[in-house]
Amino acid sequence: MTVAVADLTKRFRDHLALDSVTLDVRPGEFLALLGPSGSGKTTLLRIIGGLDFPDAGTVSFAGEDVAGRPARDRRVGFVFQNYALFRHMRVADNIAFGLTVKPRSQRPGAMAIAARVDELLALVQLPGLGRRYPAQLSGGQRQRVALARALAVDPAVLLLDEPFGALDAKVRNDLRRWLRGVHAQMGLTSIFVTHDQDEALDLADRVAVMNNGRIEQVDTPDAVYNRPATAFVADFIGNATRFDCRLSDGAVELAGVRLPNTAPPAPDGPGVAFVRPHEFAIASAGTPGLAATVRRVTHTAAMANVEAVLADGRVVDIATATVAVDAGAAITLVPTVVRAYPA
Amino acid sequence: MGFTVFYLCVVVLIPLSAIFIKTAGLGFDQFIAVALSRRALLAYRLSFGAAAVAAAINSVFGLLVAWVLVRYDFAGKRIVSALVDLPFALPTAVAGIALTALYAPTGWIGGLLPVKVAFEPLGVVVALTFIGLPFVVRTVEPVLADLGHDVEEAAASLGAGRRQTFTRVILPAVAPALVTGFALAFARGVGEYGSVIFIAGNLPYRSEIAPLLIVQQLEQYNYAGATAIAATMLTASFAVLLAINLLQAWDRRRMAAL
Amino acid sequence: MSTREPRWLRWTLIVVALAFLIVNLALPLAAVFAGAFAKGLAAYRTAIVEHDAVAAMKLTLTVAAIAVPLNIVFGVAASWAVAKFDFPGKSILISLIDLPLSVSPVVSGLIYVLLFGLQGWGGEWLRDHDIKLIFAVPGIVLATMFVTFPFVARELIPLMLEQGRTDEEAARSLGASGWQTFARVTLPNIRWGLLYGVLLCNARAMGEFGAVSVVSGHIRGLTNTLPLHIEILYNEYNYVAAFAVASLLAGLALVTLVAKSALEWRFGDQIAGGGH
Repeated sequence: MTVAVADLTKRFRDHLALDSVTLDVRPGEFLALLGPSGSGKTTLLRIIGGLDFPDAGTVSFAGEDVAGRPARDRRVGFVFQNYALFRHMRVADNIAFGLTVKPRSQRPGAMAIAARVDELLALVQLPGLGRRYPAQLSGGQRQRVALARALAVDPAVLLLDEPFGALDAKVRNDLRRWLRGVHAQMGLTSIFVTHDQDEALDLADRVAVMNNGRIEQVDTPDAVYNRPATAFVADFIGNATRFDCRLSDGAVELAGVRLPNTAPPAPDGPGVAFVRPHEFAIASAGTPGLAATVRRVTHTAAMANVEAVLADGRVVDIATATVAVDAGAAITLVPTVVRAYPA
Repeated sequence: MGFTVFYLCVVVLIPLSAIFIKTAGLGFDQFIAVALSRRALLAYRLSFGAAAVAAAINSVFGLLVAWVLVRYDFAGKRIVSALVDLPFALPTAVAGIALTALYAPTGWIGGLLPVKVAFEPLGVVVALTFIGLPFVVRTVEPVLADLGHDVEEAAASLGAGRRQTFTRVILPAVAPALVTGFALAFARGVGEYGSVIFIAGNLPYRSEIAPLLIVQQLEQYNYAGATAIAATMLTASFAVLLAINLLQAWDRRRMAAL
Repeated sequence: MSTREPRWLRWTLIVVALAFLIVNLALPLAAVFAGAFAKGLAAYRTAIVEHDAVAAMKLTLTVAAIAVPLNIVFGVAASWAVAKFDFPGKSILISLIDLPLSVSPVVSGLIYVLLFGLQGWGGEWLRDHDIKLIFAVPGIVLATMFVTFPFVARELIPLMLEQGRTDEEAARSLGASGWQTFARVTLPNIRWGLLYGVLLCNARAMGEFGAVSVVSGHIRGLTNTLPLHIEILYNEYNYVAAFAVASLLAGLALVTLVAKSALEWRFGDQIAGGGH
């Protein structure tokens, strides 16, 4: 099912949470809303789910306007950040909740509900845990119960608010893959909110990067990473270092080095440039480029990480395949790839 | 640590055990004759019955008041919140004469009501309702405030209406606190003396509460009789207290953490 | 918000709740003052400065001045023990602390009559040594202590449990002695909660009726506290005087409530979140 929002605006007191946001989510798509806290991503998700209502703009599901429809009539599955499980209910009752609150005429019989609960418990790989209380489960298990509960009512759209936020790293990675599988298997259209770029890039079909109530870019993970549309996206994604630069004739002048600009064309004038850790070459001191001093060198599997201090005191991380420098050495950092935007 | 236990022994344990030891020395027949006389039985019935009715009234209105205080904003909310604690702070004797003045046939409220309240068993219920309200409100309030908004949103997104969310999600979540509040108000009501004796009328066999019976036995220097009634009431109080603790322990076990 | 009640329902609930509170709580309070001033200001003043009333006032203040500090010491010690140490029988201790709240005040008074009264266990010994506890001030103090002693501890235990032991452990690791840790770390952390408990304890100490009534013997001008004096005046159909004296205690209750709300408002996070 297509989910479309157009010109959404939402204000909380004097804070503009959403500033005329437009976004189309394609049927069957797994879309990430990525941004720093306060960027409006959760507000957008809640408005799509019918938990908040916009001051202006439209929300439509499969072409049908649902803006005035409350959550209970939208057929969305919502997975909350801290799961919001009903702690006085057993797991099975949590999962069955959405079915048991249906109007009597549409409510399945007790047998059918029990069968559906068992089916969902199997789907989320928690068979036999139906009689437990939420407090008796681990974080990852609660997460899966929350998902099963949301899926019980056969939603067409699945909305997840920081679904892996409260889990430790190992569990998080396992659950990511698994969630991706469930999404495909059930033919859902899913939107999830995250502040973790690795999670967004790893899991989503497309990523919408948000900042200050606006969407900066909606694109595939590859495009968002390699072709950031705005300075904010370039800065937010990929642990880049920021430099002042000059833009002229489609090229970037940075610390005496002239390089082609890999970002969208920009007018001549002052600019800001972003360089990622693996986009520096290390040259001997005196070469044109950024003078720096090596502070620390560490090695991981195939790469060396060099921590260097620039003349202005800023610390830059450089990732490189081969390294022949030691701590204390004076070097020059030469950018090899650079994305620059008008200042 | 040692001091705590010592102080508890001196101030609480030794005195309490005195009641039961004294009762034990009474002899079974004598005990039955006093503690289970018709007059005493009727007094227990009034004390326990009125306390139960008042605690039930307070459970309904206490939940409502807690709900309004937690969920809504309105002018003067802080004053209202402070007022809820009035029965904790107001001496019971003061409450007693004030309620009597209000509900007497000539009083502000008594004058408007078609039934007689003061000097009747109904007056006991009125006094115990006054006394018990904060127990329910202050027990339910934190639980209600603690109940995450996201839980209600989860219910709504699963298709529950407002009424279903209340009966299926909110009410079960606050039920243990509500029962605890009921039990606290009930226990306090059973033993309440100061606010009741003024409004009750204290007619034997009709509007005489059990604590008053103890006082009367004492005034006649019938210490054994007073003790026998006290022991009966204490046993009931302990049972309520035990029930509260068991309930809370069960509740904690069930939904700990999260 | 999709989880709000419709406006009409919200206002209905507020109005019903307020109506209940007004009838049940505000009106009785108003009735006290209406009764006190029914015969004008002069009658009010006469009732308050009357000899027995002043004696009752003094006794009430004396009793509170003894019982409240003792219960502060106990309350702090008990909550300290419960919150900072583990020992067998801890939950029993907590239940025992709550006990006086569930015991009828009349029974509390009776206990002391049994123990120290003439026919009581300690009665003869006390009489031989010419010590009078029951129907005298010491008995009133004891009974008041019994009835009010949970208030401080109840306020502090949840607060101290919530604050945990890490602050104290940090202080100890920095070389503070046990007493220094208590005075410099624990006490400042609990001071507002403590004050809150003291307020409640004091209100109850000055207002206790049932327990004190049983042990006092109602000797006018000698063993009559303010609440007992109210009863005597009321039973003598001296309503204006009864309400006048009652208005003093009601005033105390109001001051307690105002102070309590002010504390909650300013230091809400430093007072335990739990109920009473």
